[in-house]
Amino acid sequence: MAESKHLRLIGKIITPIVTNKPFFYMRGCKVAITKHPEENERGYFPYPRRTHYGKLIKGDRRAPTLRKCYKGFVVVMFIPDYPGGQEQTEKKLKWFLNLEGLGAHQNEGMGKIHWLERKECMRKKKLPKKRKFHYLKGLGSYSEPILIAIKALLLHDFVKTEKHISKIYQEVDIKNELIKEACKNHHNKEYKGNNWLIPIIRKYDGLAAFITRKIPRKMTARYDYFNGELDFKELVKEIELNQYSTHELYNYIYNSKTLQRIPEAMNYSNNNLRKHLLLAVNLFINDFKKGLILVKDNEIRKVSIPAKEEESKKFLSKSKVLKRIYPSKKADSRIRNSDQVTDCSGGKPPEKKQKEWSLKRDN
Amino acid sequence: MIERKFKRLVISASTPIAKTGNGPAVGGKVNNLLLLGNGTENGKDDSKRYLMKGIRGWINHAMIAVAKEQGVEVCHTSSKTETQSGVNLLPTGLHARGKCLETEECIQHKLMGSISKPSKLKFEPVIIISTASKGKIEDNNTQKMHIATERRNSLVHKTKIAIQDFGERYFSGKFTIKIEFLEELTKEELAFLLKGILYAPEIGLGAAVNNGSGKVNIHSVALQEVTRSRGFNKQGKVVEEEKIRNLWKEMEEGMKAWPKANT
Repeated sequence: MAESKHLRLIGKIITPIVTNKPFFYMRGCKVAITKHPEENERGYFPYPRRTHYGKLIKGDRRAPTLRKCYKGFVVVMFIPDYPGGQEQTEKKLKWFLNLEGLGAHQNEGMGKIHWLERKECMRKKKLPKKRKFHYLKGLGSYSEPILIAIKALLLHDFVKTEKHISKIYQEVDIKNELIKEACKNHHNKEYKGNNWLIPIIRKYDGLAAFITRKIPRKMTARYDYFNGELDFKELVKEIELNQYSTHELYNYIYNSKTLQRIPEAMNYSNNNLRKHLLLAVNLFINDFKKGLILVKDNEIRKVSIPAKEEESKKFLSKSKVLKRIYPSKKADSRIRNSDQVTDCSGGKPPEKKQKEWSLKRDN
Repeated sequence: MIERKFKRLVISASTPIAKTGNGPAVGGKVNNLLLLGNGTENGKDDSKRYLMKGIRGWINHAMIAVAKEQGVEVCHTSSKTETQSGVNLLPTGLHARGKCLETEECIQHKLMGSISKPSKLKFEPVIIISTASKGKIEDNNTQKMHIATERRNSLVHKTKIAIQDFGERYFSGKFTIKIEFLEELTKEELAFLLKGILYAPEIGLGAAVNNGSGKVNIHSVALQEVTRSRGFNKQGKVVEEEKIRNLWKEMEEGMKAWPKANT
């Protein structure tokens, strides 16, 4: 893991440093404000605690006096192979040691540093950064039950339920009876029907809301009316027109700018309806790719994994995921011959042999 | 080893109750004092460190008030002269901040500076920690004071609907302020600064001054010459030393230098 040897000067922040970013360069040396003075396992400095400095206006610290500031430790890294060699490093070390503080508003007491020590360190090799979660630009090809579930997730907030009215204030007339029943009853705790879509909507609606509802922020208006009025009746018409195809509906919601202006909940206005619907669908598709969802008798079932297995669970390789989505014809026929299906295949099962299918989890 | 020589003023003062910051914080959970994190090893709630805000502004306002009394025109706190609707914001006897730099620089601008010129004074942070905190304080800069919250609730008659519901942090006790000189001050500037400091209790520190808080007693003011040295020991740890010399004579002479009519 170790790469090159270099010198570091470490200091403790007494009052927060007022800067826009916690990593910057000074006199050819990299200055990092970090939570701990050492790198983590992945080779990165942990991000420091951020606070805000400025005047209070009606209880909040707001712009233009609002400034970002960081707490923690300061690490100054002297790059080893620059021209001038050791003499230059010592000069720079002295210059930094003479500093009482860093950042803006130093004359008002901000950015004060207490230097702790100098260290000779081996730089750790940085591992590649984790890939961020992103919404799919277009849906791939999936089996029919999966597409029905996606459609139900996309439409679940456009009807009146026991908990809320339609989030676009006009009810969408859903043509598919199964989806309509599921959307209308997904908040009904006393529902005793046999609709297999309800547990799926409950799970992914709740999960998408849970992920985005971290910081509460109340909204007084229903939407940003100052940017122009919204015509909800027209919006309903367009959704009703697109409801026959899941792909078209997904693309419509993905590109919709009106849904972007409507909040998902009035108390959490950071999140909008478009994000909420797309997140629910994408979480569902991710779970399907991981093998946590199976298709059985033209219905979707969750796979229950024992706790011991869950600990040692590994993600599927890319090729296996592709196999799940686009199963080969050979494999299909082999499965049919042996009367065993490994998982939910992308193709539509034949109607005649549907009853004979049995399921077995892959891996 | 690195050495740095500079002068500073050390002011020891005390207050029965003061609320620095900018008014109340809604909800009561937001602190009007700036929270800096834990100061002791145990890391409990009592060991929270706070920054006492608004000391630079307090001295600045005091200096303006002193100059106004003596009939000297100095800079206002803002460079704005009027509102968008044309209402005059500039009080009589003052000019907009930094405007004097074009003609003859005023004494207040020389000390405090503006956006076009840096200040000669650096106010060290006054960090306070509650007296209730137990354990060893890690930082030498923190001062122990009584810190508490004043809850202000009032309800609509015969209901539980709150008209106001917020908390204000306040502190009381002894504290010291250190003002570092980034450049050498002239005798006039030193006198103006000292008189401003002595006038500051008349203005009051922080919010709710008309409601009994913000009263400050200044016990002593000392002009010091500090030689600060910093270096590394064998293990690479930073070692810091300070040599202090009091300059009483210089301070006495400085007190007489401003206003000029007195000399």
